[in-house]
Amino acid sequence: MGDCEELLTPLQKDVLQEIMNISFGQAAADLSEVVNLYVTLTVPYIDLLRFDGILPLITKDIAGANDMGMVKQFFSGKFTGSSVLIFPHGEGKKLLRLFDATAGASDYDVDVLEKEILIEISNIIMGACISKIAELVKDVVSYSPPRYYAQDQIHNALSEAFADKESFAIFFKTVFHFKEFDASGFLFLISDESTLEWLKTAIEDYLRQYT
Amino acid sequence: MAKILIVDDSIVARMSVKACIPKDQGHELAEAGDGAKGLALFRSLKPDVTFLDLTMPDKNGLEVLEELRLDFPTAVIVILSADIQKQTQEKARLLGAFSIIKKPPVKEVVQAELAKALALLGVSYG
Repeated sequence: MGDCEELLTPLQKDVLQEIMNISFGQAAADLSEVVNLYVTLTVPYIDLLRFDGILPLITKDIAGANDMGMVKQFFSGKFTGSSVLIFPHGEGKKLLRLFDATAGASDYDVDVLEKEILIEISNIIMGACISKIAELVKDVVSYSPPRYYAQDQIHNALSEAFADKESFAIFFKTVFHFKEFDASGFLFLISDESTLEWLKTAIEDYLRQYT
Repeated sequence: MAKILIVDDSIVARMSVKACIPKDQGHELAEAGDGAKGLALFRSLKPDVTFLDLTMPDKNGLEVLEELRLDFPTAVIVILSADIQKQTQEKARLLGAFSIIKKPPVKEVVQAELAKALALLGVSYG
């Protein structure tokens, strides 16, 4: 599908996939600790593709792309990019049961609560995931505050973010499934081509400890 | 010496486990890149100790563990996984995992678990 084979060797790609696997595992563990959500993880998918290929790939995965909730956060360090967590239609509302009714949740508008819960869950997942990647490749990253986008804002936000058609994106995807709530979220991490050379060096360093 | 099987869909994960296993004890190593191959190799090789990943495509590690322990109730299976949620660890223990190690593997931890497993089996090495 992408150009991964040209820019990364199979072993480099495998290292990245394993780093993602460990990072998503950390994110799931943090989530289950903080909000008592048990998460089933899929094997992470990784590819290198042109920026204009990202949006079709994201929307292909998710039914009802015009009616989903999305939280986006930038991270910057030597490893720089965006993390995007997308919840298909209705998934956010299923997670409202996480709010205890006795804690005053009934005083708030359902849409506001849905937005808050998606931001909170995304913040935990993205923070744990990116921090673990940074730790494994010996980097330190800083984050912008997560931002929530609803429905009609999503397409514009994604189009703007991935409008750079000339360069490549390093694209990671995994699916989080919250079993008790029968809800899923899609996590995408997207970094640009400028990170690639540094990332290759970090991969070699990671590999060196095992050879 | 012992027969050791490593089941993980990631090449680098298998490399990292192999790098943690002492080279001077004459262990025989075998590896499989997915759950189905892991099961088949286990049946033919009958390893003393198996290092098993959980998050794998098609047949995941918990399914492999369950199947193995049904057919080989005394199989010594060490889970090596990035999924470090308590619930996952409980499931693995209930299914009969010998121990659970979180990824990335640390040499001292892998060697300690291996030594415990071999002591339990009464396998001599060195």
